[in-house]
Amino acid sequence: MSDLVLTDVSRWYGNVVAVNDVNMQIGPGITGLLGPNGAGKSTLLSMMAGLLPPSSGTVTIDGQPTRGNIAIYRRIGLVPVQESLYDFLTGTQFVRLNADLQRVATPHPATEHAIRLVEMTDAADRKISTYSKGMKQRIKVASALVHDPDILLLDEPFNGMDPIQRRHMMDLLREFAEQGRTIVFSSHILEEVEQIARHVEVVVAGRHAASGDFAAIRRLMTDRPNQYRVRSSDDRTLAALLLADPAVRGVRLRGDTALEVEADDFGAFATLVPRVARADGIRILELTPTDESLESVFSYLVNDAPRSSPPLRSADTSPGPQA
Amino acid sequence: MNGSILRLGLRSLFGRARVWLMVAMPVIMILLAGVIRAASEGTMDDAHAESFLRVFGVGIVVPVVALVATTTLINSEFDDGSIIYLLTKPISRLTIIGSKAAVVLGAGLVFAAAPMLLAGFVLIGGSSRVAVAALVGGAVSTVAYVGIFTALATTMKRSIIGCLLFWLLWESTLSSLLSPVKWLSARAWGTAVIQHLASAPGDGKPAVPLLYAVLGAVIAFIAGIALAGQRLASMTISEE
Repeated sequence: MSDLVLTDVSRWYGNVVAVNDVNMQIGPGITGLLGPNGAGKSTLLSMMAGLLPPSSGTVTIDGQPTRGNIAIYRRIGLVPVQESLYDFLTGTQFVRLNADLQRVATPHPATEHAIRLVEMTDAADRKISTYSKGMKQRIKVASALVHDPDILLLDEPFNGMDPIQRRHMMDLLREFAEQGRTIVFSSHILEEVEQIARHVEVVVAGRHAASGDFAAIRRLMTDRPNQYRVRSSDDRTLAALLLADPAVRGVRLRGDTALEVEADDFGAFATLVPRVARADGIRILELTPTDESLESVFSYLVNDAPRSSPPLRSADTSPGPQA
Repeated sequence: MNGSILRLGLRSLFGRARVWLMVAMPVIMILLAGVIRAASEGTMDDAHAESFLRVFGVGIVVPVVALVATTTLINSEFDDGSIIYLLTKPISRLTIIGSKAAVVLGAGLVFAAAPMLLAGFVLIGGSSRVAVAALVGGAVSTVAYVGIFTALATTMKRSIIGCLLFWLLWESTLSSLLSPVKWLSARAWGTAVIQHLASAPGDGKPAVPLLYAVLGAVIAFIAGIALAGQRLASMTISEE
């Protein structure tokens, strides 16, 4: 049971701020570090792993600093994103190397156990250069687990995995979390995080944008103003009807072909459209959200979301009407 | 020094095709020495032998072997990020880089300096001091190159090109055009050691004093490793 605590952590490179005044407290279980590419996730993980000194602030594990403290690596397992391994080694040799470097007391059984955990026993004596992407990822996880760490840090662990490999990896992480380990993984894909993370930290442009359990974050994201394109059998009438509802902020006729609608509340809007359409006999031909990209979700969280004090604590917000 | 990292280094060096480049250099040198000896028809003297060992041994074999070993063990692991697996272990940064440099140094001594001794024997036989001088000069030059390449490998982006340019521009070209460069040249130091020890009436007197050459090489080695250790203290796990 280990707590990973970041206190007022910033990191800058020259004039560029990569991570800006981040505070996090991460306990046992799976935590997803969510953010678009370039948000500073890798920089944060590097600082958590003690590889990179924060420009200011501290990172500690149960009160011990991770920086300048090589003994802390006995408690950390890191799975980097790069595929490059010592691929002239076999899987067994690679995991054993990690066990030896960690000075594991019984390296041989520990190596076999770690390889069995990731179900790589059959391929363990093949050279890593012959492995598929998913197999490399699994052997990396085995190498990070061989010394039985309390804390597992994974950088984009699902990158480039097919759905089966992804499910397998998720099952593994869940298993480790049940053993009471603290697991942090980074991702830029909402759905990935949603599937396994109990707790989510959202990072955008180096800032800590939100923190909380996934359901609350998801609601925050869906409660933002959404834009839709609607085509129907009678756009003008539908526009008037939609505008009468408080959930709708604005409606614009785009030529004679479609409506552009901006609605505040995702849940309410989802029930409003079919209701008014059915009541007035209007046929909905198309309804498409137009700004669903993750970046727009993130930028909303950083720039526009109502908040008392940054970072936004999702637990402080009242549940939306659809909840 | 860490046993696991030493073993990994040896596996990395010998487990791949580029080991053949490292083996080929000394073989070519010794074959060439044999050809030159045969072509000289008994007129081979210390001065000729010494000059071949300086130009081909210190000038080419030593830097190529050091370059292949350094790029395999240090540059490529930095470039592809696999060094992270060593850095996230309870092992000091200096031990990591020191162990790697030890393997590189060993490769240089086995594949460059020792073959220079053999090439010396082939050229002029054991009665002359040239062969032993070549061994020591090759070793001194290797020590300096390993330090310099290690520093370049850890501090530069595109470090393989950086190391190559250092060798071709600084050591091979500028050092013969600008005299002061000899004070800061792994090649000049190795060459000077051979000239001092062989004491053959060859072409000109040594560029730098013997003690300076040896101390220079040792300092370059230590400084290179210290610099690399420093560099390892700050790493990100991936480029964002």
